[in-house]
Amino acid sequence: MESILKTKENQQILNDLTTPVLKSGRNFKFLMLVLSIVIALGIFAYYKQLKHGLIVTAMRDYTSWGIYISNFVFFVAVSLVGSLISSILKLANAKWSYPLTRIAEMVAVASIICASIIIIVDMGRPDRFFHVITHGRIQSPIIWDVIVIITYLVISILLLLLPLLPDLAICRDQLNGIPQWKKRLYKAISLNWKGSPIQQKRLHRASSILEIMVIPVAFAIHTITSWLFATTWRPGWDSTNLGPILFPGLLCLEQQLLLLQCTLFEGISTFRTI
Amino acid sequence: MKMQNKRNKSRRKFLQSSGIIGVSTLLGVQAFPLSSCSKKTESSQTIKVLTPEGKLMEVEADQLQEIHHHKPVSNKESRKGIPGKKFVMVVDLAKCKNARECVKACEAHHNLPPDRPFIKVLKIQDNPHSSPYWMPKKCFQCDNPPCVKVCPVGATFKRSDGIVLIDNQLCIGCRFCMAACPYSARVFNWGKPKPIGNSKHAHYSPETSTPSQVGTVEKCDFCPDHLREGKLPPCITACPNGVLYFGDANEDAVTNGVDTVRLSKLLKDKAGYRYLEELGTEPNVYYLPPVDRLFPFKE
Repeated sequence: MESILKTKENQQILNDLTTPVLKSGRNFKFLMLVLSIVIALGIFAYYKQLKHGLIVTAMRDYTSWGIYISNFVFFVAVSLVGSLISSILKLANAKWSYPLTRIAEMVAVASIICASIIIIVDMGRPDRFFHVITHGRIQSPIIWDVIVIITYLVISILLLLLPLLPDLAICRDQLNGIPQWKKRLYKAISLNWKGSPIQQKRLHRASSILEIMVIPVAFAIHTITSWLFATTWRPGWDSTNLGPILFPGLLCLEQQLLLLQCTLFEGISTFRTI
Repeated sequence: MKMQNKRNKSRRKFLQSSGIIGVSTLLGVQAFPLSSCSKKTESSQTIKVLTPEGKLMEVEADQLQEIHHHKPVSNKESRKGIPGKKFVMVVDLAKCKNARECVKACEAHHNLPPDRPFIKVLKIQDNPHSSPYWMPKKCFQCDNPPCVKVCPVGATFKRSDGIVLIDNQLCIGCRFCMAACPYSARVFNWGKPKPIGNSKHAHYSPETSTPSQVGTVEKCDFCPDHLREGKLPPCITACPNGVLYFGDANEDAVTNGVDTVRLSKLLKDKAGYRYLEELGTEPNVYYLPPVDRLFPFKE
């Protein structure tokens, strides 16, 4: 691999590939600024909620879950996109979907993190979160949700990281003039990737195991979330059909979101010049 | 070498001085024995008290201390329930005038703000042609409680005497129980609770539900602290119209504070029913239909 990299042509390609990592466009900076403001507003709002209690959300006894749990369901739905693109389509040998894998996995990891954060934000007593572990009752669907979300988070991170390893190794070897801590970070997360045949073989095996494993977990996370609502007596929720009804709906949602994501990415990225 | 000498010296000095302090402390304790204990009371006022055996005793007045006979039970104890009991309530809809005395008594007993009542008195009209009536609604203490099933931490529980309680020191505030309850019996402390006004509300026990905590769920609890003392819940005794009956299903007797009647006979004679019985939650609160009313409906 080392010898291939050394040719002049390849060096040019590698330079083009690593440039966007170092340099970011104006649009990117503007987007980051806007998002930072949104995050700051969110943190301020959460501070207010911690200070005064959930009364600031304007939720009341008859509408006790409100937009927090709607958001949770939305993010859980979006998180399936990773497993769909990088697992189901890959197993079905749909080669056109390969370039989408990375975006899909990023979206999946980000949304599953958002989903778990929003559950903590929704809690009346976030300081007692560990009661879920110390006093947990397996009969409660909330405990299933906690278990399945943690499982899905780990699998999603692995599905994102494993195909990223060769690229991280390129960053580690090619990027010069970056701060020392970034160099160390690349070294740590590239997991000593050298591209040797045995490593390639192991990566391939690990990926295929994960791709198969993620499908039942994705089914579980969607059906648990929908049947969690079905355990209540609310009209419209109180039905075993809720799982099968929600699943296709969520599948449509995440495909649309991926489409949107790709369009946006095409707009702001500098990759198109290559 | 010199340095070491110096250090040794200072160490010796330190030991010496600390020894002196220690000895003098011991002497001090001997010389002035605990002064407060040996002090004779100047005013030797005495009080006569009766022991449980029936003896009359005389005790110095300042030695006496008032104790509460029924201390609030511990969180663990309150999960068990009062042995041999099965509490039920009967609400006679024909008598309710919406006097709201039960709501006020409940507010005073549980230190509740007016916007978070445990008892809701609802105006119900079964169809456009019939006269409306008032329906006091509280927690039904179901025998098959949907709220207890869904709690992720076991903060809400069912006791042997039929009461469903909440341990608000365990509650994480997920509000799943509120979504699960088909009767909307539970209330959530969305904001800061009312400050403690009475010393009775200061010590927490799941049986008293006071003091409330922000971000936790609460509900009507049939006041087990009163039941332990053999008293009726405050809402029963406060009702001026005798709407609410309370009692023990094992004894087959309920009382509204004035009349004591046989539960099975009352339900049979007046066609008692339970609210949304078809859900299979097995409530422990019975309703008597609003028939043969003595007064017209007034808002």
